Amino acid sequence: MPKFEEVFAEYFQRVFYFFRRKGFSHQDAEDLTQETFLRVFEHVEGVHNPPALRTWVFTVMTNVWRNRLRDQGAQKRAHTEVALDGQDEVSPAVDRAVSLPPEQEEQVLEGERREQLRLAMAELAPRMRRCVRLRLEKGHKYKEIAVILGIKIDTVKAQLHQAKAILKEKLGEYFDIPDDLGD
Amino acid sequence: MARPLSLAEALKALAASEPEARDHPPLSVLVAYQEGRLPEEEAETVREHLVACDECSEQVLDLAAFEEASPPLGDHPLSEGDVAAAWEKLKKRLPDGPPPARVLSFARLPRYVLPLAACLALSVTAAVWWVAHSREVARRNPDSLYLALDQSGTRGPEGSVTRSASRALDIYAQGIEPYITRVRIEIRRDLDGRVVKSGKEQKRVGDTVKLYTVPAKELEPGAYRVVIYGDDQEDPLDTFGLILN
Repeated sequence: MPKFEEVFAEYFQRVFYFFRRKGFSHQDAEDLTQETFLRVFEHVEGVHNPPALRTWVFTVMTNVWRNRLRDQGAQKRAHTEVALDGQDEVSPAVDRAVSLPPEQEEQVLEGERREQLRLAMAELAPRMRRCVRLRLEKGHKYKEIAVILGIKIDTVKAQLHQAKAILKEKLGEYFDIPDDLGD
Repeated sequence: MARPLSLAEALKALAASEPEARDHPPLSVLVAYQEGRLPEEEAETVREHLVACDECSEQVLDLAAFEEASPPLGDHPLSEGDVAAAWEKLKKRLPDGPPPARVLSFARLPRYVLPLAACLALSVTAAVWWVAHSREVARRNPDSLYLALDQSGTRGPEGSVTRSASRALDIYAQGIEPYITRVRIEIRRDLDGRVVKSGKEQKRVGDTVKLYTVPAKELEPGAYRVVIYGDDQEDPLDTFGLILN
């Protein structure tokens, strides 16, 4: 079993960066990191192998984060995340924070357009369809899509590039296909 | 026809009309997925879930960033001095002594407590020895799997357990409260939640019960959830991830 000081040295930066990524100030991130390690300390002797320790520190850390959000009365994760990288900015059109009110959803996706969209998406290869959904529906960056799907970033770009051509052909008369889909 | 609609807006509207993603994979499965340890069929199921589920996809991104250990964009990396200063600050808040620091102060106890404790200690020594001995024997046996239940709600290590599917496995549960008289176990495929094996308590020694023996090669390699129930309750006492390679 590693000594607690070794555990701290191994994971302190990762935990601190996690809270910074979640949008907390330097001081808040430091406080939350301290709180995480105080909780880790209570049970560190019960963990006997490095992979379990890593998962466990991650679990404690995310619990501390969720507790803080709950304490703040945040119903949603309102903190602005810092991007993993700034290589491919997402256009306002694919801003993940935007969601349509229900009545507007009904208006914009009625009848034939809805069916055409559903068919075109269903006909895409699974990997391509997932890339498109993560990019357009969720607004993820290329690198994030690569991490989520466990594929290379170049593969993501290639899949989106191909998808753009396919969707333009099938859906061009129904929808605006954004230029930043795969270029 | 109405104005041309952005494809992104249309996809969001289409997704909003679909049922919400449920059956979130346990963290142990997401960890195995992120590390590339899941069989491809299981990984495909997880991928499909991640596309629809913001919560789980965010967790996978967090896991990747946690592994990467690099500062977020715009932040300077922490220096060794920063880490050392944080350690010094934390040390002041830690209880003295090695963890877990739950030291009983005899000086503050009433006088009758020590003799009483001695009697109790004598009466339970045999049982404690037997439990400790059993556990030690089992720990030396690589085919024994101990799942430590924490019914207080403060879970210890997430039950990410990887075992070979080609060897038989005795599954034990520790931390079963004495008032729970019957315990049963279900092994569910993580892929679809189907129960592939189930069993009931076979032997209890203190708070440890033997729940089930997974015969060699009866379970295919893959991701499973081990669900433990008490006293025929519908809600499980605890759930663990089990990866068989």
